[in-house]
Amino acid sequence: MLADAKVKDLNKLSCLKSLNVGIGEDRSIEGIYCGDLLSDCLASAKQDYLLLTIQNHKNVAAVAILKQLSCIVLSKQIQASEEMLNLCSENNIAVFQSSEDSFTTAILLYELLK
Amino acid sequence: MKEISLHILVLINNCLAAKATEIEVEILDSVSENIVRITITDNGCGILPKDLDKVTDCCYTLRKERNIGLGLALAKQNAERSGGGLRIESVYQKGTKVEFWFEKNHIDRQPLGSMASVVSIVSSQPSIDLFYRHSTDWGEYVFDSRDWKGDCEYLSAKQLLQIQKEIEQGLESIKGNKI
Repeated sequence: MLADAKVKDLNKLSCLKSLNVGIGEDRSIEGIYCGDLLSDCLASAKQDYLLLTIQNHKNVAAVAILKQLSCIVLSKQIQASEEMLNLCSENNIAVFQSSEDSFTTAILLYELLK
Repeated sequence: MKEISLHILVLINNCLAAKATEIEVEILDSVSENIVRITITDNGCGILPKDLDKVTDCCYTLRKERNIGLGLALAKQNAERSGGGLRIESVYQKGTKVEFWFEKNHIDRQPLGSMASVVSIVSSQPSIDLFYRHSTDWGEYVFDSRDWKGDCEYLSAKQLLQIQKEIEQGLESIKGNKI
């Protein structure tokens, strides 16, 4: 589905705003995991996946570190918690905020990255 | 975790990592008190007082192979998201008690899941004695792995299937007519 997609390509979507500009922007996006159940993300997401969620808990960053995800997109204008954002930045994981809900964001991401 | 029983399995795994030989799992599932409360007690190596506040932090783990630990962190987060919480008491070199609870009728509370599977899986571990108590408004079911093991260290596959069936029947008998 995704061919040579990079985190910096997400800047082309007007609904997305980077919350840690410049972090991890050259990392690849190999796939997308969409959902809020972190244990299922642990089981299903793969390295360099994008995680699309409404969760802004520090545990989201921990899952991203463990699974070596390349970026996290928070839908519905949800703000990252300070702990989550710091942890992601320290581990070269980009964090974006979407003005759209998860469903719409997923469609827009698909159109951008297909 | 999709089910609370999976949190319990992960936390029992922590007991095993702490070299526990006796584990007690108590569940209170009460409509009248609107609570699902899980208490896991072990006689493992315990946690140093200085580390007790940190163990529910995902960036803290006693594991050596990685520096992220999510077992307690996810249990705490899910409990708090369902109107509950998590607390830990521990005495170093004596053991640890983890208690976490959920508002029973909270819309985000996960189902309890199959405790029969969890108990039979844990009972299959050699050198572990498991005591399990499950209370509801309609009664109490108790399981003690020592009743099954006797002098044997291992339980056979047939015994484990029997255990699972017995627990399923035991829990069904105290289920009551409300969910």
